[in-house]
Amino acid sequence: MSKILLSTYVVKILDNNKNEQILSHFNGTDDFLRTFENYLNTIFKNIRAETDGSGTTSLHLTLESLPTVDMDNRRIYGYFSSGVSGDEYQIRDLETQDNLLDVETGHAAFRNLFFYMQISNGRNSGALILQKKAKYGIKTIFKKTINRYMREQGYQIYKVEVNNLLHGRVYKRMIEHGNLKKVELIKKRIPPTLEEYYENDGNPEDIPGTLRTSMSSGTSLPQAYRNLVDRLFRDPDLERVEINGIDEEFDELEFELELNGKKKTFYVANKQRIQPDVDVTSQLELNADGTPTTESLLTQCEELVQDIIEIRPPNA
Amino acid sequence: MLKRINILRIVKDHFGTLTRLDSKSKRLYWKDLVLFIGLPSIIGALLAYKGFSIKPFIGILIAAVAIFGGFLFNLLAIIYSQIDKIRDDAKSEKNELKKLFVKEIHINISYSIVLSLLIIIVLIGCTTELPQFRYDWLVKKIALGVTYFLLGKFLLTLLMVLNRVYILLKKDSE
Repeated sequence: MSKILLSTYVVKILDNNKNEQILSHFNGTDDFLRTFENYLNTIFKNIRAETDGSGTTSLHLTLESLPTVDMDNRRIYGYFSSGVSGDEYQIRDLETQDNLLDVETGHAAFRNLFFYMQISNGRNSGALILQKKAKYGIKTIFKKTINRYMREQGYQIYKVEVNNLLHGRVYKRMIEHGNLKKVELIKKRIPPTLEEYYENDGNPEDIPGTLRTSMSSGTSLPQAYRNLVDRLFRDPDLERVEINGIDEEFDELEFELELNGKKKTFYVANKQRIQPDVDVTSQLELNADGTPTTESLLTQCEELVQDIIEIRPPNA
Repeated sequence: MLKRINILRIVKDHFGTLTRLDSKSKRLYWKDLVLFIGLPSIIGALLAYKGFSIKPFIGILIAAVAIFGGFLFNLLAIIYSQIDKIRDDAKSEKNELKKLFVKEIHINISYSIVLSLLIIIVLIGCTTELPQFRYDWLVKKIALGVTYFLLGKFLLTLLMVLNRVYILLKKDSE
């Protein structure tokens, strides 16, 4: 089974002057949870489409079924259904090589992805958890479609922000109570031409293969490694990683922490690369067809909100 | 006196933009050397050796290069008017890379203008009749080769400028 990732986000509404709004009564009296519910009902009836940056393919967003609305606990959850269209290709049986379907530009392959939104009363931020499958995520299309929906509803001065969660306390909790599963030392290179470098936002490329030094453990790496990564991670000015005893400088040190079965990768040099994804694969119960049960996804989301989002720094 | 019309620094600066970014050496990147010097040299030498005459196209070429030269002057003016904004952006985004990128585009455009002027002069030179002497065929072949070389180099530099401006605008619009 492929990894099942849950991505944690903070949702905010900003006005034109970048002032944060109270979500339960933004625009004076409107409750964003209700607006979100209406948005979900709308995209359930009409598939929303957005063109990607290249203009050649379209991303589509709808719902698998109507969402579960639990206003007592101020949460809504369900399954988004998202697909990509714009390309022509064939679907074949891998064994017989028979052509099963000619996919045309007007067709899209949809994937169901779990979502969970919780907005407490009187708060200026809400917790959003989106399922991510391998490299397929829906944050971008969600952000575009919710903002388009808001504008259509007349909320012209408001913008919905969906931000990756800040990780200060998440890290602290995971390093103190979790297991250090893996440490990787990475050496990178700057591309030879300015064009490539500028196009890559000034980020060096990974040197493929040999210069990635990896140390991993089934349980937890020794305390010395934990102390090392903790010291390096807490250094705010670190751009290159220098380790005593190793006669070389590295550009990045990646390490993976696990807490209660949830795994997360952290980066020492490029902290902005830390993704909001948490690997919950081992914590899920599966249906007969191998898909995770809604109940287990819901439980994981509740725990994530409790473990990660609710303990976020006050300014998050 | 010649300082007022010294364009050698433009040429020098242009070749400075063809170095390896990931190397401290200021020497030309060998791939750029092959592309911007080797390739036009080979094509120029080959066409001159085969005696491929440029005379029937001289008028068209002068017009085309002059149009491109004018367009490049305009582009330079646009880049200049944008340079302050880009510098501010670069400052606010703490993006030194953008500043460097714009600076190099400016150098490349200036160099392309120099090339276009040079090409026009060489093309006009091609229309003149040389007095006959023992090695006049050799001089003609060399002049022809140089013209093809400059045309090839101009085309490649123009493509590089186009690519860089495209990347700059693309990144800005993202």
